[in-house]
Amino acid sequence: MKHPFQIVAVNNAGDLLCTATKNHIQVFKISSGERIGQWTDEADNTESIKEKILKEQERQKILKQQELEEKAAKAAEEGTPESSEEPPKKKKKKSKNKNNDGEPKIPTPGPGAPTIYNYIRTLKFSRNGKYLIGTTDSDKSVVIFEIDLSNNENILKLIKRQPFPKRPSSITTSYDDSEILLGDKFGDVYSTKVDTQEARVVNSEAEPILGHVSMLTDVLIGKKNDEQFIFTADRDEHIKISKFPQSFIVKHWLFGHEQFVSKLLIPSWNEDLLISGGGDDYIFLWDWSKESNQLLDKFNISEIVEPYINESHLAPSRFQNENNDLQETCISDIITIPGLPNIIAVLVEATNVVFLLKLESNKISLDKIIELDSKIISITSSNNQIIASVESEDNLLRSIDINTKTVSNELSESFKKITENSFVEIPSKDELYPLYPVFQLRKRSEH
Amino acid sequence: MSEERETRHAKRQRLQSQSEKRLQYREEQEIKRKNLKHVKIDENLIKDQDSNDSKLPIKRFYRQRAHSNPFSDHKLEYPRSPDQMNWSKFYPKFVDETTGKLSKQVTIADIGCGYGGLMIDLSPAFPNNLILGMEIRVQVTNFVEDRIIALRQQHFKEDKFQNINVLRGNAMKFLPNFFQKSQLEKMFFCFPDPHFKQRKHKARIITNTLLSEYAYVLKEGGIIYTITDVKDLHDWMVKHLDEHPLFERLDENFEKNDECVKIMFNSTEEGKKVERNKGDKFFKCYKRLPDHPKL
Repeated sequence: MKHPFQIVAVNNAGDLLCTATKNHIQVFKISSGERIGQWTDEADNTESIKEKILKEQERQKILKQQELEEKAAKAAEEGTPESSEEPPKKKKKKSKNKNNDGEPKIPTPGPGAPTIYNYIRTLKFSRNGKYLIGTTDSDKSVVIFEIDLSNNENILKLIKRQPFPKRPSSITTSYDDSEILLGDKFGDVYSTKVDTQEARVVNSEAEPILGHVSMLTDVLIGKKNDEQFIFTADRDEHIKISKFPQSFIVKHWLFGHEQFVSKLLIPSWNEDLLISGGGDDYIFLWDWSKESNQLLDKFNISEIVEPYINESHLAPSRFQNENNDLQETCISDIITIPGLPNIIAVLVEATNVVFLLKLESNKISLDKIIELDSKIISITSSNNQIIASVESEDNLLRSIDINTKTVSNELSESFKKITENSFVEIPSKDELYPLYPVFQLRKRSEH
Repeated sequence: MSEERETRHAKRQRLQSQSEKRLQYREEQEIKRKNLKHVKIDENLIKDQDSNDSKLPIKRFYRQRAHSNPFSDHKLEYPRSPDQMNWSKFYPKFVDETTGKLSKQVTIADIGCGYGGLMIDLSPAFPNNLILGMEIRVQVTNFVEDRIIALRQQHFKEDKFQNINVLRGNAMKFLPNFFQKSQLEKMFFCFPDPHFKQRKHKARIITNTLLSEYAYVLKEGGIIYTITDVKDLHDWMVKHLDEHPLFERLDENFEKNDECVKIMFNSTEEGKKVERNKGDKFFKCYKRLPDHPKL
């Protein structure tokens, strides 16, 4: 069977669909379904582990050497016969160790260990649509592709692969697309230039430009009167606004979430607004440009989600209540639609519906619920449609017409072609990569 | 053989009775703490209780492992935002009776206050400031709470130690949940966990990213005090504070004349331990600069 697309993204022009499946990126022409670009992450993460171990061994050796030298120097200074006898003894021991070292052993997870998935975690077009930016789990890199439409074989041209010390979890670009900001699993934000220069070495001693002490779930850049700001959201309910590029100045925090925040959005039609969602029952609407009273509205989605909840939303047994009916939902995406101002599309993880919400005079209300035939994994939008990647066997994509706000069949032929042209196949459903990972962000504190 | 077995048995029994004693002590203290934690201690309250009740807590019953992972999701209580923090129960004597609200804000914070020695010495030196200690280890926080209750009881006539209190919290994660922008005048970082391993450096309490958050809660001209007995950690803290655009190092003249430096150097439990062991103490103070420093 074909592996469903884990991420879908449409370019600004609305003619290219970019997808991420396992460790593969594919680009399709929406009109014809033709595959015109592809890239496979071939980095072997055991290699990087090997490298790390070798480095650590080298470091240990040097440290030991230094220690020995220091001791020897001390002994020489004191000149006592007892201490001068000691170092050679130790040296012998060390040389024995050296012989034992040889090839570094790669730690292999034992039985019952969670599976390690190496996949493309995020995928985004730059603001100007010239670049495609993704992050890989294998070597914790940001990969930057130039879209080269003149290349008939493959429009994706990898111009940079920049590894980072911790796994990147979210990316965004500055307004001029010259810089990429990325938030990582450790709560740090790093910046990297969009250029063809060789990747620099970013080790754990490198300084992030700002940070939380919690996994970062989303990073955005917004603008107010020509001043740029960075928005960072984390697993600890925090949304922080810092200046950019003077990221050491914190503007303020937006307080209100009671669960992790998974998604931030600044709508293109009003950049003073910020919409956020995560593990709680509400979509939050903020006026972030104000100094105080930033919360404009909270929209309760639990009621409208209720009919579409399924068994996958039951809390894990360890955290379940006595009646076994505790259900947990979370928002996995919030997007704007270029052709529909004042409307946002919201996706609740592992459901088969897209909620269209209306923003009017700083209030959120329900516009329309669009139900699909299969569970939705990821959504993206262009001027005339919302494209959803779904968990289905025959056709991996669905289209929602923006004018009628209904599921449209117009593109089903080319979507079928796209499905056919996708080369990522798996023998059975058991081999699926995680399609709905957001719920794992929920905090389970036990002590 | 049999003798040895007996001693082993005796040892086990002794240990058991010790742990029972500790448990019993902890339970008693917990009841007391619950009753007295947030009440105003006055004459009537003291009269009703026997003198035994205002004894200082015994440290050895509160022992806990020295480290706590600041990244893990502890069950912590923290307000949704600084507006929702109810400070009046921490400083009942400072509540304005007509409005029912606190007449002052917390302006001095001791981050990782440990057993509370610094606060207890700061209390009489800054009688008009509210001082808060934050500590992540449960038992240590309990000890400080019990210590403050006992001190308040012992000195109720002079109204002493009413301006200090402690809460269990993770300052690295939730400091902005407690304090407004520019609320604090002084922040103390005394003998923090050194986290020696390089890959643990992010867990250190002073990093360039956390300094930006400390700068947010500190007002302009506010001061960060650091002290440690670990040279490597001292160098690390100085490096990061020096490099941060919102902080400026204070000179020896300041160090000589500042009262807090003296108190910090002499008062904390950790500091006294270092003195007993004849170790070194390294310290530095930094001033919060305005957001737009003149270039």
